Amino acid sequence: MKLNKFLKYTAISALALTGLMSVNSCTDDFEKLNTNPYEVDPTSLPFAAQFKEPFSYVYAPQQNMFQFWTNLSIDLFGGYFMTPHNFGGSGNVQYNLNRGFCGGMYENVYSHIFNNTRTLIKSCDEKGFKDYAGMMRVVQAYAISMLTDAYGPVAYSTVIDDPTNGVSYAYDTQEQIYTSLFTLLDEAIAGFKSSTSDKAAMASFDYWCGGDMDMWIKVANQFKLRFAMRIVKANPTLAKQKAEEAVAGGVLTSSDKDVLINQGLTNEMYRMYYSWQDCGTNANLITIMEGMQDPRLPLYMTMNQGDIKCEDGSTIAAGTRYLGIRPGHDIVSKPNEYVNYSYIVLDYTTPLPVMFAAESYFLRAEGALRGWNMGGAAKDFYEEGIRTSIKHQLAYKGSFAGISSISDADIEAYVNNTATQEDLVDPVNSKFNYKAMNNVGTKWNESGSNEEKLQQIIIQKWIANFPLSTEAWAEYRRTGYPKLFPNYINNSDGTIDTNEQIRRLIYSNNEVNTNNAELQNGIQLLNQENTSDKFTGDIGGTRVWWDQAKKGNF
Amino acid sequence: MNYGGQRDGGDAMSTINPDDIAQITLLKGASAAALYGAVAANGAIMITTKSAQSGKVAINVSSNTTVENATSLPKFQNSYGMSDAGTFSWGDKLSSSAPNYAKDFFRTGYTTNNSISLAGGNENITSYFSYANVSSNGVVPENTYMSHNLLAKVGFNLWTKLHVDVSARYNTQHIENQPASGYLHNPLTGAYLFPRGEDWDYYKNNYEVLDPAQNINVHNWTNTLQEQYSNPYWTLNRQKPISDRNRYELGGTVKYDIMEGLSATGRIRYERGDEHWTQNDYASSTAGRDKLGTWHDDRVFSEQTYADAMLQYNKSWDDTYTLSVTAGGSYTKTKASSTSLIGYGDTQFAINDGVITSGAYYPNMFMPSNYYRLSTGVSLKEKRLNSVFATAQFGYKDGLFVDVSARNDWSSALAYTEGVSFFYPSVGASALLNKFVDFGKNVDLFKLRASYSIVGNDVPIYASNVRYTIGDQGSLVPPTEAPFRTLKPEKTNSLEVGFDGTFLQNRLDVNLTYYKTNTKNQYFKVTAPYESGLKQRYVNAGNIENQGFEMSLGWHQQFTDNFSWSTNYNFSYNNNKVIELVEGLSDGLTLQSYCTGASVILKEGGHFGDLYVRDLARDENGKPIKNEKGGPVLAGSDVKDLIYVGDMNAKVNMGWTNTFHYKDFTLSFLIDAKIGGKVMSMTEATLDGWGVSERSGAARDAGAVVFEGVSFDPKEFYTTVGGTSYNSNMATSLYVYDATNVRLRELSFGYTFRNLFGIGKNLSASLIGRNLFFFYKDAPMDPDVSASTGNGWQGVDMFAMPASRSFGLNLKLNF
Repeated sequence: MKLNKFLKYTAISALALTGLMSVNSCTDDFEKLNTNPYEVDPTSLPFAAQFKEPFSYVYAPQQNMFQFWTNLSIDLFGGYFMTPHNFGGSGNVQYNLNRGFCGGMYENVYSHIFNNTRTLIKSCDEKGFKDYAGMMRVVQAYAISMLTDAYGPVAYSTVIDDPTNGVSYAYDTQEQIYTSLFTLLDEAIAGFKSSTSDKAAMASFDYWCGGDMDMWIKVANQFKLRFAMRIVKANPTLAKQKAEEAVAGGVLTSSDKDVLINQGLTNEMYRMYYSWQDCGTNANLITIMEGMQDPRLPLYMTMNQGDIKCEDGSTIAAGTRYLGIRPGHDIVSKPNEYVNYSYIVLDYTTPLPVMFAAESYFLRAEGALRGWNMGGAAKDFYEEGIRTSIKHQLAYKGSFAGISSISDADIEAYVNNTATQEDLVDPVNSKFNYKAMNNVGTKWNESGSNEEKLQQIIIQKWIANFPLSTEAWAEYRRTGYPKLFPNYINNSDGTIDTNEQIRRLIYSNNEVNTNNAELQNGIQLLNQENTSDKFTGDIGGTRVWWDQAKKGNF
Repeated sequence: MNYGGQRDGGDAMSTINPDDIAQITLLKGASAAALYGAVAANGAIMITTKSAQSGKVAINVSSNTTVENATSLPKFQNSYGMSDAGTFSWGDKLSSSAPNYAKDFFRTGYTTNNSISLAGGNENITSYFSYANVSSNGVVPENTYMSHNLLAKVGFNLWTKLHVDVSARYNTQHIENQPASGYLHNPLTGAYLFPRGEDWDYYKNNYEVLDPAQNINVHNWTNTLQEQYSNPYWTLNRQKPISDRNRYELGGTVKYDIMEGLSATGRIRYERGDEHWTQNDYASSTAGRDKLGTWHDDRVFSEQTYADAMLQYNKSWDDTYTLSVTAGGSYTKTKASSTSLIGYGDTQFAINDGVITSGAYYPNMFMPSNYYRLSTGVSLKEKRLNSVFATAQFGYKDGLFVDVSARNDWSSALAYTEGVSFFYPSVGASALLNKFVDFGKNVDLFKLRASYSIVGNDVPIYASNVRYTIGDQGSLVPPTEAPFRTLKPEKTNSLEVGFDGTFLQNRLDVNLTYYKTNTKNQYFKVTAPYESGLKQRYVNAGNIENQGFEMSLGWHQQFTDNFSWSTNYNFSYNNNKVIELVEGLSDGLTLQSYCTGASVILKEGGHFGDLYVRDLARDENGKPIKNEKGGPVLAGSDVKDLIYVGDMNAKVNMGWTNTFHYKDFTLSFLIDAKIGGKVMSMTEATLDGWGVSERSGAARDAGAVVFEGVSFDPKEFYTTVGGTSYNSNMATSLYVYDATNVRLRELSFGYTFRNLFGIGKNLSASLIGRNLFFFYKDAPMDPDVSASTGNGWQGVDMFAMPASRSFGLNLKLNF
């Protein structure tokens, strides 16, 4: 009896329990539960959705990435920009290079651009979309050129092949990378030429050229011309060959538009200046443009933002002077008088710059100077480049500067002007004063030496390429022009020569912490390509491959 | 970078009315894990709330009032004035000495806690009801806290075999200016860094001034362009975080006594919490980055349903053998969701050539309609854990016990991996030798115990299923973490042996435990090379060992009928060791890293909490290098450049309590000690860099800083080794302190007025002082401070709230 009762109750309880468990043990909806409803699978979206990030991150439209990408590093070295305070002494301003601040270029290119382009090129090729793949090839070539120009050898081919499945990435020499860049561009051009995709469909996502295949061919050729010129010291034969191919294929001209991204993305340079006051204007830019009486100056820069109390006790009223900051200064904290110096003419809505048509003329002018077949004479390219730049900059920045026209007479007056850079006279700290370093005017000097002509061409290209510091700094390192004021302070602990100035960025923290074995091999490659007698290793004084220490410009 | 100033979500435990607590039980290791699973992998704290007893109606009233003051404040210099446009205090010598502004800033805080409870019933029904409120004003001005708590419990006994208990609890809290550490949104930076000799009262009374152009009041301070350094009264009044939280808990238990020894129990519990958090950063906040004011409005919602069903069987045979078995299953469903709205007022809405600059329309209008576009964030995390478990205990003559348990969990967080199911068993034995051997009258208990268990733990939600997100302008953003499809649950193996004894007619208590736990397959996020396109990758790896012992000794002495003394001494020692780590990490695994130059790095053979810091650059003889300006040079911050300074965790913890009873008087005190461990103070480093620390003043008086035999210029030295902004490099090696400390944690004195309102109706009153003083400490701050509860950062002070010393009066009345 007792046993029966026990069994009966056990059975009932077991049934009840099983009932509960059957609700319980179901694991069918586990996958649904572990799927974040606010994330997406790319397969369920239009194919082109994935193009937006790589297209736009060549001018990072995100505040922190923008600041780390170039604003705390390359922007300080190209002569356009200078921070108005020294980040508590820990930034790159005084050449005591900071791996965090130097690593932004590395993070931006790999995470936001290369990570997309390498998979998109593959999947577009597989699907037969050679034109789509071509766009990503050009974007990739641009991004990788900025990357290798900054550091020297970097991981490139292993990132595409990924032989270790994400564990480590071996480096390519810069020479190998440049070979790959030419290949990328040639494949892209072939893809554009055989384009069969619907133009309207491409226009909907093509942030650079609006689906215009002819323009894409010109853009790809202009990159090719740019890269060819970059390696002119390291491999003059290849440089000439590639440059002539590019010009024959057609580059941008005065009748083409600049490549500007106008998609409502924020232009973060505005935040750097106006909101964070972490960025200011370099004295090099002001003394060159003001001294040479450049009509583009009000398109680029405002006059002083606020009243400035001078060293001699006088006050400079707001909006009355163009003032820039000496590179490598020792200005400690905000606020100081320097946050009231000239600011960039800009807005959050200013389109993001990628490539200027005017650049092609200066590249062709230099090629012609070198005796290459560029389809014209150096003087003509030089002058047409200046005219194109002024007109295109007016179209680009006029509405932000409140300037509606610059007359042809003014443009011609500038083209024929012989005024030169002015001295740096800092009204707040005379210790920053420095004599003007460039003594060439705008007017083409046909009787000048090749060196003087090159100086004229590069100074004008430097002005025309504003605000693309990656290009400004690379060309400064290659040619030495425009001559830039040396850093006021050099806290590099002997790793950078003040007069030679900084030649490269040091590798990123992340690389040291995650890919160190291959990084060490990469530094060996860097040393192999380095031509400096003074410096070697992962420091700012070491030269990248195309930056030949022992070769002159001619 | 760590800017701090984040919302602290609080925790459920802190919402419980302390007067409702009947018992707190710490369930450790195997027993906790078998019943509660992965969530109890590290132990479980069981809080049993009070229930009524039949046949008695009791009313309890209690009231506590506590006053507290900030202690262990930094030491400041008071003789050198402002410099650098209102930022630092590297200026000229002051004509008269400056007051201590930090002392003026903190106020006396108070907390009152009142509660009343009613309990009563008969053999069929019992009920308990309580209400409590807590009201407090913190030591930081404008910091207030208010909470109300209601608890109702009813128990029914039906047909003698069926027991039903139901309970409901509600808690609501309102918090303003909850203290948070960090550099941003923290009033302490301004209070500590205020330039010496300036007019504090002026800035206190005029933290805002009218800006006629905008017709609004804007931030007023010696320097309004430094993000990390605002007028503290502006921060407290114009960047005030406000939290409103509600918590609801409903529970029910049905127990049916099927027959003697066999019962079935079913429990269900539903908990739900919500929080509404707002912060209006008024125009001009954060060095003007909040140009027109920034509106934050976050809503967080959480829900948990737990249900289980168990069969329990107890049986004994011949007074010799006993068997106790529990078997059942449980279901846990958790859900957390949030909505976050931010109206960024960093720009003025504008249209240029038909192109819109998004932004705010008007200053200080904190509502959605004032912003062209709101930044919105939503999140949802759901998880289900299904379990079956069984435990059994076999006993022999009430003196020898063998325990076995087994549990299997199925977790939805493991979906998309090779298996969602994981099993873990345990086995243990204990012997009460005094039941079998006659040790004489001086041995009351002599127990030996041993257990071995494996506890499984699952992994974070979505780690196995990371997907793309949609970013700005519809761009498709690839994941920065790789979906971890080979994920395995963590496993912790624990071995524990112990001894419990009671001697000398229950006067002496002895407890000794030795344990060793090894956690394997630990889930780590490892920084990935950016080449991979990822920021982080996941790995299951390693073997982290914790080994140690715990001891407690107690003595109770009844001197006379009226006079007794109880003392208890606890000692614990833990040695943590990383036996095995992730493969291929030559420089170890960086758990945390500060851009200022300090990291917590795990290395094989090291500890889970090893701190590596940046040093000064040294010459070949190890002497600090001096630059041409007379300052030191910082060493690098790469992992290979950092120097090891020790494990942040203390190895030894001790506590000693003493309680004396004399008639109706009670006196007790608690001394506790922590030996070993390291703490680091970013606060001290920043005070040095800013030129406000006492050290920086003394160095200027002396004309030089002599550090390891090298004489440096004071300003060059401290602005290099210290912090001059929240991301400046520091010589963190100079700001690491030994965490060892011994303190008088608590002292209380009480008296019970007996039969004040009738027989058994007593009033007891006690005075309690907490955190009274240190017998010993090395660090300038209270070493118990913590920057965050995240792995690896316990013990880093980054403008954290100073410790407080408090005195309280407790009154308890029972009718």
